[in-house]
Amino acid sequence: MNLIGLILVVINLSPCELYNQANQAYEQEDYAQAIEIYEQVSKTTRNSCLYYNLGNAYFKSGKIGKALLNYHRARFLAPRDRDINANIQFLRNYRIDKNLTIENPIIKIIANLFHLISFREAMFLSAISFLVTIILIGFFLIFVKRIFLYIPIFTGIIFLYSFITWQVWRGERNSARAVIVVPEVTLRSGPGQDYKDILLAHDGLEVKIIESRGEYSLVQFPGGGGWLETQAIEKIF
Amino acid sequence: MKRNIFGLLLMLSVLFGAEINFTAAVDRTQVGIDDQIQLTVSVSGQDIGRVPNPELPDLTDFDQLGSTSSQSTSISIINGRMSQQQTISFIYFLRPKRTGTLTIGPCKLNFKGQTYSTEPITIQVEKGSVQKPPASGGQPRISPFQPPTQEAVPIEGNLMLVASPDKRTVYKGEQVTVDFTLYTRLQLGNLSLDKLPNFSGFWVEKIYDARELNFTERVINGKRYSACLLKKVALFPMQAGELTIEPMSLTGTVIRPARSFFDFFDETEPVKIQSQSIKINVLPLPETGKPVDFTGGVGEFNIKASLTPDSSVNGEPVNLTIKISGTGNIKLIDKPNLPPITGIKILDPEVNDKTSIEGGRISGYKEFKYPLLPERDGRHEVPSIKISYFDPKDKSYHTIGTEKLVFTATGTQKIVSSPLTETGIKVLGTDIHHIKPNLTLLKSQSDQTPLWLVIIYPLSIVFLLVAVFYRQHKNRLEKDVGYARRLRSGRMMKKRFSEASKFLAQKNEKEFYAALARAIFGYVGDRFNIQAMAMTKEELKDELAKKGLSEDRVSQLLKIIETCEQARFAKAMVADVNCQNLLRETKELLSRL
Repeated sequence: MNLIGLILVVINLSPCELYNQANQAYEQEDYAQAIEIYEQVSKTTRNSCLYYNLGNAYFKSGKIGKALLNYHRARFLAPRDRDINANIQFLRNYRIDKNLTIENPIIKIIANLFHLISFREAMFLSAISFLVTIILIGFFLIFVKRIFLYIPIFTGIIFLYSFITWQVWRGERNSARAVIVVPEVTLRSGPGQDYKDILLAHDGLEVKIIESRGEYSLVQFPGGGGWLETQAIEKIF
Repeated sequence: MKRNIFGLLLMLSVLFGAEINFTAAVDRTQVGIDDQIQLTVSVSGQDIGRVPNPELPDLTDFDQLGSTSSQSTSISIINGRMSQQQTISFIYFLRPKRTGTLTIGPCKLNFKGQTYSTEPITIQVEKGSVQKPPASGGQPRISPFQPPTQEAVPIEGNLMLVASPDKRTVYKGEQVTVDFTLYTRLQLGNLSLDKLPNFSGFWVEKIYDARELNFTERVINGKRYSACLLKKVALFPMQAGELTIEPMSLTGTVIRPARSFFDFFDETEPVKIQSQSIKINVLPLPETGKPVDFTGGVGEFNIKASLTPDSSVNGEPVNLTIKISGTGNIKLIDKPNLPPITGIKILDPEVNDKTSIEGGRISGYKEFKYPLLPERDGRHEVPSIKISYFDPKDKSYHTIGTEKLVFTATGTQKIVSSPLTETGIKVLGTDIHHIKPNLTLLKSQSDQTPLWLVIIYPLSIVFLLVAVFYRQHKNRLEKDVGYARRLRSGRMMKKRFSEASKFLAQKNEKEFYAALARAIFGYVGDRFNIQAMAMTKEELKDELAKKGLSEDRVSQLLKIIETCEQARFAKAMVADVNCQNLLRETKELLSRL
């Protein structure tokens, strides 16, 4: 489909219809067009299915970084989705730079526990469980009945869990996490071409932006870090 | 001498007109263990163009060094009849393996349904080397028809073995081609190799070895020579400095053909032909600009890498083949340095090489086959593998590299125990999960925080505070009587005042004053948690002073109480207006307390 056709489609069709059309393009292995439409829809609509399919289309066209980026965006909206998690895991193994650090199983379990519900779910659950807990405690103070003390213990735990999850997601969203989206990039010791080369990173490596200066950013990942051109990475959120 | 006898035999057979003459002869019967014996098996006769090779006897006591063959044709007219005689000689170079008396058994030849065999020959082998028979200068002539003195062609200048290198100054590892060419203007016979040239310090690659002598005409310094290339070798110097190629030498005989018709026998003269020794100046490879990945290649090379198979299933190794091909010292190239690849174990390579000669240059390839063992699933990248070589043409180093290769590995973790393989399901590969299906509604999942969610928190806190205050108040009501009375005092006062105003409205002045007094006492009692009703004025005054009430207020209060008592007991009529005023005054006073 040429550009004019695409524009016509954008004007005439709803995001959902566009999404379905992109799916069709994907099934016909026209990944470039699928990406184009998905990207167009994602400008107006945030949806985990959309991001997931966009990630798939990017992967099929060989762009691991872009794919991982969109899987992360999808996971933010739907953390319990098996497909999304499976594909993230697949890409982490598929990309060239592997994480060599072995994850502590306890930390992994805790990390998984606080990613069970999404940011939005955590946000609502936290507010509601807080309200219920406080009202029940208030009732206990007013009516001095034991039942009003037992229930808030339960709802209080829910509140704590959802509040922490909410903050974990917030922290992730605000921590300037990014993915390398170019096939290969050299990490240098300083913000510029003349600094000494330190590392060679490849498409799909997840990094954390520590500092940005000019056209360069200092990034960090398990096992190293360095300065690279900001255009080589794309922020997840 | 034997040679001459052999010649005689040959001639006799011709004379007798035998159909086929099959003979075997050696050049010497007494040799040292280090010497060489030349066994000549000759077949002569008419029409023997298709004679097969003779069957050699068991020669386990000898080393066969090589063989050659020659053919000659002679036409003779005997008794007016012309006969054409062909002689085919098969020459074998033998070296005895042990000392003592050795026997060369009869050689056999099957020709036209008939079997011919030769006489066995015994040879005495001694230790060391037996001096070669002296030159046949003084040997008696067998031919009685020896023509008178004849000017012999000198050997010097007419017979030479020339070793000619194509270059005399080369870099270490660069190819030098040396030709060993025999130039002769004489007729030669029984040519045999005496000593091979010594190429110490070189790696030698044979380009050409003469199996039979093919002479071509060549003119050198105006003289016409028959030239024959005996040997051509490619040499690759392995060390820098001046290297010497030792000479090659041949032995043979110069045959001086019979000059007259009646001279049946050729005149022969043994001769040793030696090439000159050659000095090659070998330059070391320049150290400046020598790349780290230089692996010893000198010449011109290409590098190619391939992976077979292109993916690893069940953790099986993938072969990385690095093929270096080109012209130069291909066999001397060292294996390239493979950088470590994360997640891949690189095993030692299997090395194959093959060389061929292309236009006098040694070319070919050398293959390094590295098995790569993936240690984890996923995509692995084999980086560009670089080697450097030195090109003597432009006297500089060149670096060549392979393309990056990528392969995927699956099932590396499952080698040890795989639940999948136990069920018999074979893992063929892994891929991402498929896309999500079409939807009827694409909901936008916003993560904006709605306002009411933000308000819930402070609201809840406010509610909690209210509840806490309520609880505190309740607790105090239960435990603190004074607090309870004080809280109650205002309400009680209002009640009493309304009672008083009711009496006032009924014009019941007595009751009015009583109620007013009660209101005052009651309020003060509640307010300060004292038993005011039971107190006298003096006691009340003291008590109120103790509670910290100002004297002014106390005296005002007491004055009202006095007025009330006077009015009650004196039964004096007090004006309505006074009553109203008193009520208002009292209210004001009490509310100010």
